[in-house]
Amino acid sequence: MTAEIIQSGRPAPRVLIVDAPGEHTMFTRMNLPPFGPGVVAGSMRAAGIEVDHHDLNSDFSRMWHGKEFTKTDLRPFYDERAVISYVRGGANEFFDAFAARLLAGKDIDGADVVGVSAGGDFSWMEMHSAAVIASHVKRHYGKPIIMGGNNLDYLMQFKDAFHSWWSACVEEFDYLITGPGEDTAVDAVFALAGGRPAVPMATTWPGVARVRGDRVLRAPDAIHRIIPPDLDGLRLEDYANFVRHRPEASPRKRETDEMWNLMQLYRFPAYLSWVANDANAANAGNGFEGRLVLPYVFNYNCPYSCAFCTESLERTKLVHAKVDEVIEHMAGMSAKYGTPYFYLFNNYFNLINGFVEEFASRVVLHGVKFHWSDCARFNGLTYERLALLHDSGCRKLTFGLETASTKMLRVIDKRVKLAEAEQVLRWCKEIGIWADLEIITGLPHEDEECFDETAGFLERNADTINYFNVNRYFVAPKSLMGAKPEAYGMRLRKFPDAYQRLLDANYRWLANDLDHSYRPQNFRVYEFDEIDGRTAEELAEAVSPKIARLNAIQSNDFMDAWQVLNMRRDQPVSAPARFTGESLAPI
Amino acid sequence: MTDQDLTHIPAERTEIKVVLERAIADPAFGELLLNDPDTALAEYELTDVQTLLLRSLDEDDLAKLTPQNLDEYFEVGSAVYTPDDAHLVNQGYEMYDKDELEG
Ligand code: B12
Ligand code: SF4
Repeated sequence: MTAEIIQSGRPAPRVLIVDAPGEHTMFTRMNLPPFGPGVVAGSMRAAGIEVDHHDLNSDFSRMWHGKEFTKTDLRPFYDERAVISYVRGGANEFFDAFAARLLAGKDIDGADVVGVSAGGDFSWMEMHSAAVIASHVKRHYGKPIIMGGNNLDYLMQFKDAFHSWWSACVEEFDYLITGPGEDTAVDAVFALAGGRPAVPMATTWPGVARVRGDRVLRAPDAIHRIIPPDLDGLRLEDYANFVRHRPEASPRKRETDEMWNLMQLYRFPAYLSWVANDANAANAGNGFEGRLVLPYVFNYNCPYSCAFCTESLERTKLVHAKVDEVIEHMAGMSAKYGTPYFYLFNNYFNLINGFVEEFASRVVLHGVKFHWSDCARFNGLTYERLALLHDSGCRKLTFGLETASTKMLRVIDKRVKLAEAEQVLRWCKEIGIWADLEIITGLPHEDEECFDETAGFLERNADTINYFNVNRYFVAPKSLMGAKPEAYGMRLRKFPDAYQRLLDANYRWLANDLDHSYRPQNFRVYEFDEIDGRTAEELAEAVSPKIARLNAIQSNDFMDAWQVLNMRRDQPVSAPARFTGESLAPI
Repeated sequence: MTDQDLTHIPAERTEIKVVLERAIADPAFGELLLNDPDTALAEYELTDVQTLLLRSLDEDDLAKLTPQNLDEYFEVGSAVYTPDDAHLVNQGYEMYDKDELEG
């Protein structure tokens, strides 16, 4: 593509990418650079586009710590009408001033196209600030706008509930990209910057949302490509994880430091890892040093069809990088950013046969040293394979078990054998890989007996399970259960004003200054009644004691860690929400 | 199990607190914990996480500890996960109560 531009004699298009801010920086330090937008930046640069990438979370965080606003000042971001009216061209001094402040110092004038990332955290602050920022740029600078990010996928799944957001944004901005952005974002930039024929919005362009009449239309997704995130231009120090680093200490102390660092980055659940980072950051330089943890993914899509999961509805071709590419990407990033630490975000690591063996042997062959975590499935993991994974740097695997009720496992078509799961958990423990589980409670028709089986499994295997994430089931429209609720014994209940009600719940959480891990369950847009069973209200009642019971099984080690870390931070605090909703997606 | 039972799950008295109490009461032990934690902790039955947590403490951490604030940090209530919390973490939008939402 670069050659194409040079031949045409046109200068390379210039894109400003801005990542819309979310609430998380008001609660804790950032600890992961923006992955999706980093991939898009990498893809654009490889195509010869000049990219200027700014994560507005960095600016937002400085504004927050500089006490430029309070949480309650952000109220308008949780007001559907205010946001939509601003996007539609209405006046709003608060939005205008806030967006201007966030964008201060960014070269908007110099850009041919502005890309706005609406984030991927299901945060309303992100989704609404993205719309506000895009609108501000358009009205004051007249620049073409493209918008993307995983949150658009969420908004699209519930497009009936969030219709006003879609119709305003599709009509006011140039391209709204749902799903993979590697190629679609590049094509959109060339189209807008005049390098290629513009693709009219009326035709189907993979990944580009449209509105026809009163209907929002999702185009089929584009296909992912495996590209490492390019983080150039970002303020990387903002994403530092502060770990122990005392090169002059005794070997015993250094060994303990290394153990601590792995515990902080991999063994601890996210909420503890954040607290540890905050506590350590306060002592930066004093035996603590900031290191990046890099996000990376080398496969997309999934051959399984677990009925609750968004991977279950459409058969999408697997995309998988070759092992040499994976090693090249990881070794390249590790050297460039000076860190051995990775969080891999594959649906599951052991997706193709033979990959584990090849990956492990290449790591040894190339003499590279990584530490990483990823998701995995129990099936096909032998002792030998797990040992190889450990040798290649695997510190933690998160397994999607979801439920240990054989009936429920069949209903959701999980294809996990409990005996195999228990065996793999034992091996992980023996080999030194921390094994986390994803658990879902509140599935339709999950009765006491089913729940007891799950609780019993967790109790029985408490010794080999590091941590389990408890997720309350929600209906994802882009899943088998969401598409055919009746077949799973559910009657959906949709509320006409769910949009504003969700926003209210989010604002209440923010205004009440609750812990980050208490954040509202934004994915629960639809409720459901069980056919011939309990009502949505009864289900909501029933789930709280279940969550409490599951959390009581969680290892006490993490409670000890919570208390000691808060002691080090000098902040006695009550119990964290261990059902976090921050937990990794059900696998 | 009822909600009532759940709010009263006794939090186990953590060995960490036992060690820290001793470190406050007995400065020589506190010293040993900082300089030679392997020896100091040998007689306690600790998990590997607990051991790392205790080994991670430095002079400043121990210096600011008093019996009172130790109780606060290790307050039993903070170690128990109650259905009240479960309600909070389970929050989505209210299904019917529109008035409440306006507040
Ligand atoms: C990492 C991850 C998380 C992390 C997020 C960490 C972080 N801050 O990034 C954590 C653990 C917090 C998480 C939580 C949850 N997750 Co999650 N998560 C993932 C995971 C494994 C990887 C996401 C990722 O990074 N992908 C790779 C990057 C490159 O993709 P991307 O960000 O989408 O970027 C692409 C596009 O969006 C676009 N793009 C991005 N930015 C921009 C910008 C512009 C300008 C443009 C044009 C395009 C563009 O191009 C990029 C490249 O293609 C995916 C599964 C998967 N493998 O994809 C699930 C997934 C996204 N999660 C999912 C779910 C359901 C959840 C939870 C709701 C689960 C739960 N019950 O709690 C929670 C929500 C928590 C919350 N915040 O409320 C679902 C989402 C379903 C959906 N899309 O509707 C997924 C797809 C898993 C699944 N199969 O079900 N998750
Ligand atoms: S839950 Fe995991 S294994 Fe099942 S379909 Fe989704 S991504 Fe695949």
